[in-house]
Amino acid sequence: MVASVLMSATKLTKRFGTNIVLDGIDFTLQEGTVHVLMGENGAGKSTFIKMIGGLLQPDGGEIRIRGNTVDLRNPAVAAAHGVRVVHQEIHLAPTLSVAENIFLNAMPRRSFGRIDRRKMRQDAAEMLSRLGVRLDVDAPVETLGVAQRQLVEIARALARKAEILILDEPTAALSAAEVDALLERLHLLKAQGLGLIYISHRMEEVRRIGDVVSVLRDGRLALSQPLAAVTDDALIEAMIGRSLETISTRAEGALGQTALHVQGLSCADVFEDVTFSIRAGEVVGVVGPLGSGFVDVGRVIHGVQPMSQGMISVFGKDHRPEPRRSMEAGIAFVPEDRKQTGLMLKSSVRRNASAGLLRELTKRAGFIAGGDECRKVDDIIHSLAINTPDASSPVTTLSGGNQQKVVLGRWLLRNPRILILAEPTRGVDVGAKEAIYALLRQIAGRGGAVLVLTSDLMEAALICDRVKVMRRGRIVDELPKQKLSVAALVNSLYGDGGAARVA
Amino acid sequence: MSLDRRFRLTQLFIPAVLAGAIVAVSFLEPRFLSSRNLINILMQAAPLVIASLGQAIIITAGDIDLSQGAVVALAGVAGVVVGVQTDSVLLAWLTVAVAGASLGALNGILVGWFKIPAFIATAGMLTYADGFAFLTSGGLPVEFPPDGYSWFGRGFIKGVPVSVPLMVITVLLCWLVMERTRVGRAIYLVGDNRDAARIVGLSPERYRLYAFCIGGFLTGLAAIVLTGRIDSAPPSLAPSLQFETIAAVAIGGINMTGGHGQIWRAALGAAPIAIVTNILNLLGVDTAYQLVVIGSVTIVVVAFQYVSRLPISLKWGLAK
Repeated sequence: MVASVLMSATKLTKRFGTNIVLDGIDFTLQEGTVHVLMGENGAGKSTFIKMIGGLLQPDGGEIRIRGNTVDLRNPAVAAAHGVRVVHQEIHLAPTLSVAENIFLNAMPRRSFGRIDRRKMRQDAAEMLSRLGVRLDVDAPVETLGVAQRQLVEIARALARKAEILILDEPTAALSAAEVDALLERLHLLKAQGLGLIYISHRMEEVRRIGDVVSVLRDGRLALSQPLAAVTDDALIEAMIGRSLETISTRAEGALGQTALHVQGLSCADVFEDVTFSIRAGEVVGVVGPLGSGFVDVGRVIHGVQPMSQGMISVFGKDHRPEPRRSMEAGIAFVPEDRKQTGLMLKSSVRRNASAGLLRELTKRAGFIAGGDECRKVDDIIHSLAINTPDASSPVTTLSGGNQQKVVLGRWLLRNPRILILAEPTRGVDVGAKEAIYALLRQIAGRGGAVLVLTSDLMEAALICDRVKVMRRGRIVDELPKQKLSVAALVNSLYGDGGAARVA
Repeated sequence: MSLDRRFRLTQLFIPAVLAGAIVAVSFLEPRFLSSRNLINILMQAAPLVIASLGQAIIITAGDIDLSQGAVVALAGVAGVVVGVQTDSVLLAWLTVAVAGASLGALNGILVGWFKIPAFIATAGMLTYADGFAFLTSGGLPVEFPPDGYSWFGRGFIKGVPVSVPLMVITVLLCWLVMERTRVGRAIYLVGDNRDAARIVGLSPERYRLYAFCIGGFLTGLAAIVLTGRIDSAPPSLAPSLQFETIAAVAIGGINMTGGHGQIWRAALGAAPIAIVTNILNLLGVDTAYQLVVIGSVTIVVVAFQYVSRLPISLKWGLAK
């Protein structure tokens, strides 16, 4: 096949206010190839694909499709140029059938605007067969599994005559076997001449599907080469800006008594029979696939989600989970979703930071001691280096990293003895990430017990003393400090023979 | 910068329009600026302002109260009945206030513990309280409360109607409670994000209940003024009060989804309604036309605020 350039970007630049999120990116996608895009959270990957998909407009540089300069001013225009984005979260209408979902918005018509159902079903079947999938086109989407829904999303993209298909972490929620099946299908599309932009963190997958790789870091292109020419270490180094060894300096404090012990903990339909304990001064990780519910372990211990079975003890005392009781027992809980369950988005930085301390700040007759509040919040803003004009600014004006620091600061004000964090650095820029890691080590160094629930394997390998691996709601493995590495975690988490390819 | 400017413009909008209307009307109708009329406006505004504060607190907690009109009727009827029976003014007033707060508490329980959306629970309460007021009163106004009952409604202290300082004190107290106390702060936080509040140990159910109790008490206070004004308690006294208070909260610029906006703004929002009503009365405009005008004013003011607050991208119909 003669490889011709499907899409290219030159000097693509995007700013949000004064913040440059993408700085002069060059990118080329050939027909019939897969261009892998890698980079940490906040590196600019999603901004990049939003610009290709027409959701954001570049502030500089240009995009060419088949050699012509294009202005992708909205998603419809991008689609007309053959660009389709399959997002991480699946956007399907659950009660409609597979065929209806594939042709949502573009159903074949007969006279008087009636839908031509027969043609729609035939065409849907054809799209699915291009993917090598057999699915009942009449089945409601809600009856399908995640992997099948993903395929319906891709079929929908094909139905709109996509030539450039962008897949944003398509395997995040899939099992090893499902990943295999998906990759096979993507090879089919490749053979049909489509160009794929594939976003993933998983070395193993990337190696199997990719032809070319580009790595973004802090909005710049850190690396762009044929995949065969780069080693895994080089990719990791390009992503985080230095080799792993230099930052894996974990606190080596002496461990104290058992701070948190969890025995046979279950939460109906989410996880079961989880057992572990954490000693004072220890950082323990629990890893699992993104969005698979394993972070709910933290919600259950804190008491915002009911437990169905099991036992929790805190410093040897039986603990019945309920947020107020947990707080009194010295537990702090940073939830995984900053915007949904972490912050009060209409409130100021100050009110967010002091939200967990209202009882302690209340003096006579139910009045809040305003002076104390200001002083404490200002202290924490200062000590965590939270970048905000002042404490009364709306919390939404802060960057993701600084917002996360506000949530952390809220809990640090309580001097917690047990700190539970779910996805502590999701959507946080590199600088803030480093600061948060340093902070966690510091807390453990002072005798705090830290539980990190994360899907970011690099994070787990970097900051934890030992890591429990959770698959489908069960702990399947534990890696002690000596054996801890990203490769070992990938192996353990996605396993099923992936090991050989990772190493 | 532009955000700041937009915000300031929004803040000036209501006072500017009001000032314009007042100047225009004072030329058309010299009686408007007479001290007697101004006092009259304040007296008219007092119960609306007090009830609007209640609505504002409930809205700030993330809920809404559609039952205010019926609660006024039922609490008023109950109070006057008790007054007639016991011949005690204090007991009558107390009954009205306690009835208001209890009905509010019932709303809060339905909403917090039975997880019924406030919209539906309070609509149910509206019908229930309406029916109960009719049953208790036999469908006719309950009359002849003990002497002195009407003090809050039409009493004067040195030429100032009692309802006016009552209104001022209520505004100040509500502001103090909402800005400075833990309960007030928790109501804001719960109204902003229930899930986040629960995680930091603030029970949304409890603070929504508190908001409904305070709101119900203030509705009762408004009922004391309203029934005092006519010295009797008809079973349908202010049937659409809740819609006027919701309008006042919206005009005042308090966030309608909860969690944001200082509470005194409800009083600011009630002012245009009271003033426009007064102007239309002076000009002898028919009641039906008055409703049309007040409805239009509400919609225009609120629409202006919403549009001016939207981020530019939304204004052009683009999702982020």
